[in-house]
Amino acid sequence: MKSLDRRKFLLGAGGSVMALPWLELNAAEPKTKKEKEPPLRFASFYSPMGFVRDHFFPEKDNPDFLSMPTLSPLKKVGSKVTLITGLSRVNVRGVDVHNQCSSCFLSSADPHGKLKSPYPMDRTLDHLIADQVSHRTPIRSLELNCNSFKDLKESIYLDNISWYGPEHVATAMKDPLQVYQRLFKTSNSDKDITDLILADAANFKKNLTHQDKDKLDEYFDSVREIEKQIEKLNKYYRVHKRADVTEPDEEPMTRGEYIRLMGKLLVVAFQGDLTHVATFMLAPERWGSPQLFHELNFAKSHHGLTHGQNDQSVKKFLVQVDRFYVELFAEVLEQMDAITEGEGTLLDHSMVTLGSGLGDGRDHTMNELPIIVAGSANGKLKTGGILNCPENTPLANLWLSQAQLMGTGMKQFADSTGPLNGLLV
Amino acid sequence: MRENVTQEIMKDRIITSSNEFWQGAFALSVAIPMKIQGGVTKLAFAIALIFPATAQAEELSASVVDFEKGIQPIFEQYCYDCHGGKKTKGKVDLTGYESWADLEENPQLIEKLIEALDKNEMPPEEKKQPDDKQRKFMVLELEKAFKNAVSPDQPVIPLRLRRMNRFEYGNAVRDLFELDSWVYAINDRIIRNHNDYFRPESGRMPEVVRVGNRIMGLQQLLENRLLGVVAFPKDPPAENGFNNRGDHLSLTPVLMESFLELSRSIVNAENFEKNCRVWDELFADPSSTKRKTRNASIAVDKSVAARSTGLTISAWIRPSKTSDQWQTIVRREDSWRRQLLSIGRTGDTWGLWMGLGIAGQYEEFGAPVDRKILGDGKWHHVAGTFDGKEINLYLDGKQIGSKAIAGKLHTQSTQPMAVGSHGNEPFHGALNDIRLYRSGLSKDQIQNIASGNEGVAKEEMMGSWKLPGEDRPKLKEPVEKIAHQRIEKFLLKAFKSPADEKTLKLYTGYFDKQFKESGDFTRSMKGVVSAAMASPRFIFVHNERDEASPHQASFNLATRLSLFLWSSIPDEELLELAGKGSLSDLEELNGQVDRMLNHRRVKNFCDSFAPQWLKLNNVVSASPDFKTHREYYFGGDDKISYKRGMHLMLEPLLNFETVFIENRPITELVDSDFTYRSHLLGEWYQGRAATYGINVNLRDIEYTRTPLTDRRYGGVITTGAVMVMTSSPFRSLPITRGSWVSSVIFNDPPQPPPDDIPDLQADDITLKKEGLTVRQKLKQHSSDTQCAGCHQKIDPLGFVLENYDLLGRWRDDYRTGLKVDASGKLFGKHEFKDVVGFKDAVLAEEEVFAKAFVGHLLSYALGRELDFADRIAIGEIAEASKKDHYRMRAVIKNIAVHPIFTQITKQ
Repeated sequence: MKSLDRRKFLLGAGGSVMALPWLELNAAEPKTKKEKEPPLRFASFYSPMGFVRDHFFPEKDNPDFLSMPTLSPLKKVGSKVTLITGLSRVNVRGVDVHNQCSSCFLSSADPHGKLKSPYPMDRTLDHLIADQVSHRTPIRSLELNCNSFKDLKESIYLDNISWYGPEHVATAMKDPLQVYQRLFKTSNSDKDITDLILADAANFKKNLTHQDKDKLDEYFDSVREIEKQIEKLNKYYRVHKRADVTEPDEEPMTRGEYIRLMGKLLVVAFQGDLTHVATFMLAPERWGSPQLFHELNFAKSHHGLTHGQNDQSVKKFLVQVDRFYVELFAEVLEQMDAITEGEGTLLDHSMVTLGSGLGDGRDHTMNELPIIVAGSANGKLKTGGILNCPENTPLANLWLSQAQLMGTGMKQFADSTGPLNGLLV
Repeated sequence: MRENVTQEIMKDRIITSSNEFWQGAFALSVAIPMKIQGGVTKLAFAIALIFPATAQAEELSASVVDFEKGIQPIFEQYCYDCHGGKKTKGKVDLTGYESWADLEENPQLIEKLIEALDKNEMPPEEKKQPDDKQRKFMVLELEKAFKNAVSPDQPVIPLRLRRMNRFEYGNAVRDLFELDSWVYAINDRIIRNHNDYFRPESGRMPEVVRVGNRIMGLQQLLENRLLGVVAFPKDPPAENGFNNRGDHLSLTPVLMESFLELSRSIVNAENFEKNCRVWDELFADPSSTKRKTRNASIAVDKSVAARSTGLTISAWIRPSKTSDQWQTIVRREDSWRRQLLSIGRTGDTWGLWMGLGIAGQYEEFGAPVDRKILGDGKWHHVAGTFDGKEINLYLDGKQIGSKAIAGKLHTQSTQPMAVGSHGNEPFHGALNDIRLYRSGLSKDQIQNIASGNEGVAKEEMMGSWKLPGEDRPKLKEPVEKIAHQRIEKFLLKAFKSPADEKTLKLYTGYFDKQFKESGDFTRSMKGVVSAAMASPRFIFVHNERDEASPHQASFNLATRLSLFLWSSIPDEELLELAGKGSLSDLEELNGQVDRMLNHRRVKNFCDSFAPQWLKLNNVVSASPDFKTHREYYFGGDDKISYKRGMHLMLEPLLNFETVFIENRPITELVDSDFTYRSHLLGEWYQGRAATYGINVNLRDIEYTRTPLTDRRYGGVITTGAVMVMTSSPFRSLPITRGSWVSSVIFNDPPQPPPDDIPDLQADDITLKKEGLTVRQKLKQHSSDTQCAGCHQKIDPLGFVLENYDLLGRWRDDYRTGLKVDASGKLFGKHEFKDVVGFKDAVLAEEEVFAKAFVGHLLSYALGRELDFADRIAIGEIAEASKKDHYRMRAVIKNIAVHPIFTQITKQ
């Protein structure tokens, strides 16, 4: 067990993560295979409005992507990271680009098909995976979002990449305390009350229209999910120790501290096998307001910067924002790589993607999307280099490959044309 | 940061807020399959008139002129060039329609055609134009065809089941338990009301209002709220819409956890009992002696009250305090018909007061009393009578005052009268043996009561209340039975309709089980209440197809009304009427809508609708450049959220509330002869911005009604708030402003711009070098035909506001020295030179504005996105409001009684 760099973990009040050995954690699970493979974790990080391309993608035939200004923070874990080029999403015309690129980033809807909502939305990749793997963990999935804007004036589509279905958002947690409680707090469900309200709801449902019955199913699903989670978490904590993490307090945090804390909670959740599926929005898509980047010492609208990047004086700020988010992403990877699990590290047993729904924030293109995949998914992924895909390869191909690696047995995802060539070892 | 960057921030944000309205019409119009069944041709009735038939057209009610003789030749002459066989711009091909029957298959296209023709959007300016007569003829014909196409079998769209949003949930809980406090601290409600200025029943906005800004202010957590209760996250607004949209309000495990947590934390908050005015009648153990006078009330026997000729209130009081503050003995709120008996001071008189509604207005009369007598620690008898001729007041059986007022006593509300409590005027001390009579008792009768006679005028008594005895009360019924009755009453209110037997059993059974185990009445009742608050019947609203109750339609309407006007659940009166099925009676409905519009809860409507309609939250994030516009920050530093926006934001909201409370025409939202301003704001518009220290009191700001003669100000459009939120940190953004005007004032948000818009180099340096104004610069920029169509429409709406700088202050010239050119043309017909001329143009098109406003309001009322077919209802509502000069309450009322809202279909 490697010791961890405290500075990376601890904010304000102090505390540390006790890495529990992976074998101990899995002792409760019955072994079905002789050589049990470590469980695979899936995470998808979203950074809004693309990255400045000439700071992100190296020139053709230059394999050294880790020297690119925006990607250089990944150097420490560089051998476990792949840069993928050539991936695209279909831009469904006539609807808002930004709404579409975030809400449909992980969507399983075919953009050429019939739309069930203004955008090609459907159940997203993380939930399709969780449907298959959530029996392994007490918590079905984590949806995290580092939107710290106080003016919640923008649309729901810009603020969410994780959806149960069209128009059914998977509410993300933005408050570290709420995440903390989700991971560590056990409670007893009041069986009487749950039975009562479910019986009441069942009566209630009888007289509703079909459409309203569907809506009410959200209620049943939610109550059952909460019940299941309480039960599983209680069972889990009868066997496992709680990771030693300080409960987040109300102290104001800088932008970096906030994201770092959320990242740390994600790592802890993966490390303790509390969940194997997560999404993580570093920031919401196209928010109209300026944002204070304490660490960068300026307050600017990220969106505004992307549109002005032709101007060198503007671009100077934008590349700092890009790099800032990649640095924070890299810190998560480094933490994961510092946690030993059996033969490898937590990162080796994961598949963590960082991407954006826009290739270029300046002109809203959805081709040549910036995508990085980290972790070798138990040695199945090629890492440490660039995977150049033919132009306009559907992003859905990567998602299909990831869904397959997670054991979903999926054959098709949205407009995928097949698993992504060259991704696997 | 250079300007060309930041100018894009807001521009992109507002413009790209997509608009399905446009979308549906242009791009998808032909492809969408029709659900409408009424596409049957009405040609049978068509009168073969020979074109042009404009003069007669208006007289033709439901019939239309032959297609090939009427509208087709005009299409051919002016439209086929672009929308014909060769070119089909906007995917519209008019040559495909050979008859009205063809066209009526596509009502969405008809709707689009009407809009484009009516607002002179088509044919484009540079093309050959039909004359006014032809245009008018086409619009009339198309209007008829549209009605033919959609109206006959158009089913009423029921509201979708949805959960309450955060704002509604807080209000519902507050009203459910009649809390004196807020449920949780949220900033959804922008205005913080410091001097109880919002009195809809008065029909008058006070000259001075004292308000704060919750969003931008500090220390808002100081408000009285339930301790330890945490709200769930704010619901985002729909694009170009509101945050009560059914399709956006879904339930997820994370939210459900919050609802479960709220259902427990609310009733268990340590200050819940203190703030809960229904504590005694719901949670308190009926077999316990500990009861709180302040939550008591007197139910009125309606059969007795029905034959009332006057009123007598008689009470025994023992005050522990005799300060100037009013202390309520009994009181019932019912706008100007309120009835009360109190002690306290008004003006020079400290004494006993009676208040009631006589001959159409509220009358209040007080008689002086030596406060030493009442404060002597002994019991005293007080009484007030009104017999249709005079008000008489008595102390210990002796008359102490009399005032002659002849007239009818008005009593409408049948709600119980509160004993010893009213807002912040509670009674301090003890009350006992309070009686209400339906007539004015005589001097002798009062004397009799004061001397302890029990049986006085028994047949006249409407209700009474006595201090519960010191002994353990003898219960007439078993505790469980009392509990069950309470539960039934509570569930009616919480579930917005009566619980059927099965449902009731679930909850009463739960009580019995808990009570049997613990023997603790209050705890068991809290358990039941918690469970009910976690039930979908509470969390969800609009279970419109539930047929559980015979009067379900009436209950549905009660819920729709209360969510629309109060953002909350129905009150007892609405539920009572719904239970009788009488809400569907138009007269009753009208009366209820009036009552609701006069009720203080209607503040919720103003708090929710107005800022969302005006997109006012954008002011929060407006950030004029700190270096060059330090005055916006009160000279403070940019880390502190004290901003001038704090003052600016409140002006349009107070103007809206004034139009609402005083029932002014909605056109005064465009052009009014008054506004509300703080001193600071007044100075600001005059260009005299004082730099204040950080310690200036920003929590409690005085706004004064300011009469206006200068029409550059007034209404909502030209307020500083609008200007600031449609500007970049460095300059005003005319396109953003135009987009705002188009979306908010005309309910016609522009379609999203193309993906790749080149930067507009419009910083001062570039403009100076080129010697161009932003307008000239933009003209070059948008000459691209792809963009020109839209810009032709939005640009004049934005440039007309160029005389206001990025901080909302008037300017004649730009900083570059070039003159501002604010001239333009509205809908291609009304030319204007400046913003005053523009206001005239909007007023000349008041019907368009009215329809736009009705559209916003209707979408809010129904909690859904409007459909093209809704234009018929919009038209009818606007038309019905016209005769009332579009007065605000008439508009709201016409929505509330329209079949699209009531869903009452005429048999």
